[in-house]
Amino acid sequence: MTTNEKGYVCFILHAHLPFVHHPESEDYLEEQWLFEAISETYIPLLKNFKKLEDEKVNFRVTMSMTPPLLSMLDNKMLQRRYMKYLKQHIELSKKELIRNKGNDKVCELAKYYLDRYSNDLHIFKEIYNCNLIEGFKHFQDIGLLEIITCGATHGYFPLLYLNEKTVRAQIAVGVQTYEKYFGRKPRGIWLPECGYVPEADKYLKEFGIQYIITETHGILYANPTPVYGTFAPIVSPNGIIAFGRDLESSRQVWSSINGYPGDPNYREFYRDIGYDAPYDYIKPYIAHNGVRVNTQIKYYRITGKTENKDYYNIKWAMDSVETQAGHFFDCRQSQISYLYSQMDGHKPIIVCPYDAELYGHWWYEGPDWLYILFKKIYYDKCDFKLITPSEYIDLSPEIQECIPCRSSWGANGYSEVWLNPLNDYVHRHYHIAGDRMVELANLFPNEPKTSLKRKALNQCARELLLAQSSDWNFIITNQTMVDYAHKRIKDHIGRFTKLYYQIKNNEIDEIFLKEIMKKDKIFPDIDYMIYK
Amino acid sequence: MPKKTKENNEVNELKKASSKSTSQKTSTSTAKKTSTKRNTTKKETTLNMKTSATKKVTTSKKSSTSINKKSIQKRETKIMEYYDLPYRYNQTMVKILAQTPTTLFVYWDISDIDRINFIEKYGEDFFNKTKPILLIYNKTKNYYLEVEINDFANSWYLHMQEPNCEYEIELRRRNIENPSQYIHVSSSNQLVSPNDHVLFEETDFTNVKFKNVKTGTISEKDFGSIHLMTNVGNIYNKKHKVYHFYNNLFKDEILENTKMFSNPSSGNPTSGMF
Repeated sequence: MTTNEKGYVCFILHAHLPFVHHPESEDYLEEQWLFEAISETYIPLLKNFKKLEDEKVNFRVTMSMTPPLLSMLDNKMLQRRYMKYLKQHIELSKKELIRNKGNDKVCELAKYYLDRYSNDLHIFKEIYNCNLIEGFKHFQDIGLLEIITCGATHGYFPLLYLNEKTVRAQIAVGVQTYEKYFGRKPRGIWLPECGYVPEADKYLKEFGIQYIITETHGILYANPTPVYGTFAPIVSPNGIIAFGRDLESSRQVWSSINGYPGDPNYREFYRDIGYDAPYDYIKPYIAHNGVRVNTQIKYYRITGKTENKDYYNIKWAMDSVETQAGHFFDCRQSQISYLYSQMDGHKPIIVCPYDAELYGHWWYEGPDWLYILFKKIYYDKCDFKLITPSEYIDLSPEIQECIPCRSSWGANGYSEVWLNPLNDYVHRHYHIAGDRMVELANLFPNEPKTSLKRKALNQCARELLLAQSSDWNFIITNQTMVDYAHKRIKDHIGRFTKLYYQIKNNEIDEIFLKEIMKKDKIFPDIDYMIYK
Repeated sequence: MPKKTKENNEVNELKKASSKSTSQKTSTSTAKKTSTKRNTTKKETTLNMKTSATKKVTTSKKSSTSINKKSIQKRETKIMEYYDLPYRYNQTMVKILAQTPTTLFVYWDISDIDRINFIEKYGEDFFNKTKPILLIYNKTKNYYLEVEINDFANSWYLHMQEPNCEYEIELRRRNIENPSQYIHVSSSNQLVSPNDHVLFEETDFTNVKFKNVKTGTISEKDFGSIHLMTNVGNIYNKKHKVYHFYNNLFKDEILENTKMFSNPSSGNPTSGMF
């Protein structure tokens, strides 16, 4: 516990998944991204926050919860499908107990999964009444968690801003969605992919955003050079405060070779009964077309660079969690002591942003590591405090004025992930559709509330926003679920274009409109006039 | 252009593309400030274009019960959707985007109407007698350079020498026989490329501006003293070195990880930081 702190550590977890919603079919595996993230990241985080609250541990954490994620967590059909997913996992865990009879180690783990998925169902249905957003809101309301917003659909500003109104709309809808769920205005925004361009500042300001998070060089390469590096925020001439990611702490957590998640005692992500169990047995639990996929029931630990993996041992994994939380704690102590001595009385802030899904989904033990670390910071003798960006701004409002560097947190720090020969063809469609949306808003302003044309115009705005998700271009670059990403771009641009002509020609097909409103059911309160 | 005609153009384009298996070509070029003629290396990306279609399938069911003594016919309509992206939008334009501090991506098109206008104005052979050119204007450093492109491409990567510059590009046609003759086609958006280094040398540390974000008050501090400069230097020397160190270190991991990750948790640094 600190009495006279020398600096601060600011954890920021970016919780995001693209909007995947297919009422027309249950065969889309991509829907499982949400279910896996709920069971492995969001519920474990909530459980650990609750434990800390019950133990009266005063901690601070910041989370961005993106509008697509909030919309999916609030979607009744997806909530039902998540419970179905849980029931299937409970059933499979029970079968695993029978299949592995005689193998005590595996049975112990199967029992662990049975308990865990049963508990998830209980927490989801009984405790949170299927509404996890309320769970997170509670921790914001009691001051332990600061939630910030994000671009409406995670559109990447450095490539969209050719039409600034499309960036403005991403920000406007991001802020509106936040207000709908959290009942107040967000003070900060997670720029999608940390993509910063100074041209967006005025719109951030317009919608009341005070601060952003940038990649390290967003600060280090700023103009003029910030005197405290990433250890203090900077403020842009337009008044937007930028916090930069700290390299040392990022690396300790992120690096898959030297970072914490690579510990031999941790659960091995790439060994899953979806691939290992006999085909006929596992068939009901894998893809509908019979392709083997992950079930998230995994029995092995990382062990080392070997194919012969040992069984996962929860106790050993928790020992590693303890050791690594201690290591992280010690490193921040010495880092902050050193920086404090260099900063002439100014208290450094170490900004640690991560994808929330790293914690639990990729690094299974991650939420427990956070729990142990937060407890340690609270109880041990410690020179630093956990803080949120808003608290830091309120404490230290004297901030150096600089223009942050145009940057992102993607590979190589700029726009290569979202603009390269695999996906560069997309951008002309984004720009034309953006121009057309502005054209529609100017041609048909203020359509009556209940008119069919207004409904169609609002749906156009939704289709444009959904097409702009940076996720599709990321997937194409990573060559993972490429067909799905191409399909989503084509579907949204296709639906947008079809509606664009229907509106302009005054021949809106109501049945078509109704059908796509059902599929792309997001942002019910959107107003297309944001594009005017 | 009448609304209908434009829509038909996009649709026609789709049909043409599907019947001929048209390919979209992307090319790469290196532009150097000193030489006038550039070597170009081409990279082709082929997109298969198919016709987009939406189809309605309507089935009728007769209700067995009657309300208000009227039989109700319940219509269930399902829309079968299939879309593809148009090959082009038939608009004259040129746009620039920054891929990296020194790589620009340019795309362009010339509308059918403008093509006809050029032919009407300059003769039947206009497009055979002229070559497409990108004239790049570096506004920050105040110089022009030219890149010869070709009529099969609709986009290009330009490798520039300097970061942190403002650019504007003009799409032109150059007369092959008389290279000093140009015809303007379209001008691009303006673009500032990102910075890629610490601006330590350019910064005046004797006059560092601070803003109190609560009150709006501006104050200036002098970091030019040896003591404070050393501190700034310590932060930068340490961190700056560390930055490059990590940058190199992560390269192998990026290669290893990007293949394995299927979750589109974008920007996930494990799947491609730096």
